[in-house]
Amino acid sequence: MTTLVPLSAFIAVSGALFFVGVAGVLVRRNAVVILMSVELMLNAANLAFVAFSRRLGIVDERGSVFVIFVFVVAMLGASLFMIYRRGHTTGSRFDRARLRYLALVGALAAVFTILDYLPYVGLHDIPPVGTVLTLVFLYILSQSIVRSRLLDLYELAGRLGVLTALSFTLAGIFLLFHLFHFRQIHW
Amino acid sequence: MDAVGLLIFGALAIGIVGAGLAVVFVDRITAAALLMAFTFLCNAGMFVLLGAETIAAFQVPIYVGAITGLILYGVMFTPQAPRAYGLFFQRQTRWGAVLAALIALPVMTSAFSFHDAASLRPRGVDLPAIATSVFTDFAFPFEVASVLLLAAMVGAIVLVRREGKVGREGPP
Repeated sequence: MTTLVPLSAFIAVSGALFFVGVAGVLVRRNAVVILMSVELMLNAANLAFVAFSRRLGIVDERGSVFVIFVFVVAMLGASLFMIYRRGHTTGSRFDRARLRYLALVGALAAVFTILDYLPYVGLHDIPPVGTVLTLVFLYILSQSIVRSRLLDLYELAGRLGVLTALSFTLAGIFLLFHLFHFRQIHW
Repeated sequence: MDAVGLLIFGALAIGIVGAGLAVVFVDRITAAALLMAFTFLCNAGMFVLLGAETIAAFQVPIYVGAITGLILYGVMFTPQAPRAYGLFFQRQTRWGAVLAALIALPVMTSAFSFHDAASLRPRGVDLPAIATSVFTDFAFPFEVASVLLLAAMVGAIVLVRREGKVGREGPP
């Protein structure tokens, strides 16, 4: 059984923790402490989600599900930050540029993934660009990992062209099958 | 029952806000990381108090374990030069604190205007409801998140492997 501490008390603690995090981001110099403050803010948001979800009498556990996605975002943010920081400290210039590029592309992919979640919070009018852009960025990310060079535009374009031609060929074969099938049914 | 709940809530609230403030104001960075882990642990206690045991069970390994571990690794592997306490804060500290307080005041006053639902029926364990939501309404975001985490994991493995190969070959 849940004890009856009022909902507003939980929201007040969540707000206090959130603004401690805001103050940490605004006030401190150290990058690691700024990351910690961001995590504190995310945790405050989790507390508010769970409190509203458990106490506002809605049947499903919408808030708790959002907390799981906040977990994912927090882990991703922490790991991207680690990659970026490592990129600052490695010796060779090549590795440094590659790690920085990886962190940048990963951050962009994460942002577009978060765009995917917009329809779930009530913003239905935005077209689903996130899905397509996430795929594009994941492809570039895999290229930058597999090839050790950063971004060879010619090679990337060549691969994209080959893949596009392949997918159009497949689509054509499917179209032929479909036409054949269609004719068979009607004759 | 009610008094015990209030006592536990008070202790957890003091732990969360106090440790959070200490994270911002403490000088040593490992101490700050451990205090942050303590804040997360108190937050898991809050989740239990709200009746969300599943989320509390996720909170402990993910936040207290993984994220704190990641940050501690980061602190360990990067050299920290000792600095004067004067270089501790940003230059715009005063304005930052004023700005945070200005935003916090209306939000914190409105926080006390929320009330519990009128008919607060007791709910059971939250795991079945969470599982139903994840695999029906939120199936697509769940899959997107898992693909993204998979990509991050593969990237991390490849990064570590390449480093090892360079070490074996020696400097060019």
